[in-house]
Amino acid sequence: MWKKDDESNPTANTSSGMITAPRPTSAKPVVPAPGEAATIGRSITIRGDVTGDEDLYIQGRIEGTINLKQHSVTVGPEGRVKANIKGRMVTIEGEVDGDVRGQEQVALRSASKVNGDIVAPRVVLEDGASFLGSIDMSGKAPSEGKQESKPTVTERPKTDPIPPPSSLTNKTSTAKV
Amino acid sequence: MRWLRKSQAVPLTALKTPAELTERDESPTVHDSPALTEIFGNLDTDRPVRVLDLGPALQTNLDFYTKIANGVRIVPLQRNDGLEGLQQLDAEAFAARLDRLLPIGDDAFGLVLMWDLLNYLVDEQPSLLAHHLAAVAERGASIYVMIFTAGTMPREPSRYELLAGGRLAYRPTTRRRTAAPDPPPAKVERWIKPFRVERSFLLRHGVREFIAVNA
Repeated sequence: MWKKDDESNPTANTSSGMITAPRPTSAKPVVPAPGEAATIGRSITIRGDVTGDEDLYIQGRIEGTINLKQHSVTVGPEGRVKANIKGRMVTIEGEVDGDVRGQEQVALRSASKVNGDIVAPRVVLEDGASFLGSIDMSGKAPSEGKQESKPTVTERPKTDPIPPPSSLTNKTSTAKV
Repeated sequence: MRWLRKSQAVPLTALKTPAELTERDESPTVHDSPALTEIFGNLDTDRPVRVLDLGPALQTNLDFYTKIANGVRIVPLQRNDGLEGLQQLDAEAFAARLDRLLPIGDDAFGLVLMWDLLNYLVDEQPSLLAHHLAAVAERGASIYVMIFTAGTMPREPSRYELLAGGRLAYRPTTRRRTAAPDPPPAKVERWIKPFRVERSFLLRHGVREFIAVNA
């Protein structure tokens, strides 16, 4: 149910387990402090699979796959990625050609360009972000071993399917407004 | 509007008011949407549905869906090759694209927003799309369809942003226009079978909104 309290906290979760999406908070580039994340510099090009156990900040080029499921992945403003990305929090400020999966969130900042599908329980699209693809906010972390083109399966609440709205049953009507 | 007045109505606090649209919004046209008002006003937030949006992804709409849904998919069918590429697909290729983008067998959707896409599909595409949507939607799921019935329409599908007060901002993605298809309602009903039209609203600016239910 919608309560007044919800108005003051638009990201508050509800008893029904609905997913929430925060409003974009900042258009500033997310540059990690030294030592906070591994950084792939502007002059670096990597072809192959990137895995690891720390956060990653990309200013260079990567072709292949990026799999840091438990950590943050940030494609900086000068980053160019041609790869599927898996991370806990994925933030795109540069260009990505590939699917992006975030266990918690995927954020496309204002100057980003993404050509691929996004799967995450929360998605942030800032004004100016260029995005070609589909979004699946299934409310469940992406599962392993699925084909990339398939969306994740949502764990649905154990309730009956929603019935058709009562005012929409039994007759066809037309109104001029 | 009822979807704001009802205590159990979906919360629209994250939505912009028409006055909050920015210069970046390219002077959108804002209209009331009685069909969406009715659809959202009748949703039960205790039973959130999965929402399928066949338009482009917009943050405001995502914010809104997350408050009414337990799952959201945004699937613009034209994707990389644009409207022209979509229209050039024959029946087999069109069906293959639907299978790839909207696999049957995943959890069913309770609400489908087709927006104005139907105006731009050709030949068998409307019927193929409707049958595929019926297969990925729950029985009783609602679908929202807009048809241009007068004058001209943009040559490509527009972007539609849900606003507070049961209003919609229309943002054409091109300045080029073409004649509105103006199909008779009976033809629309044939296009979207097996969905059954329950209500339609003819708006002053020539758009007819349809609410149909997956029968």
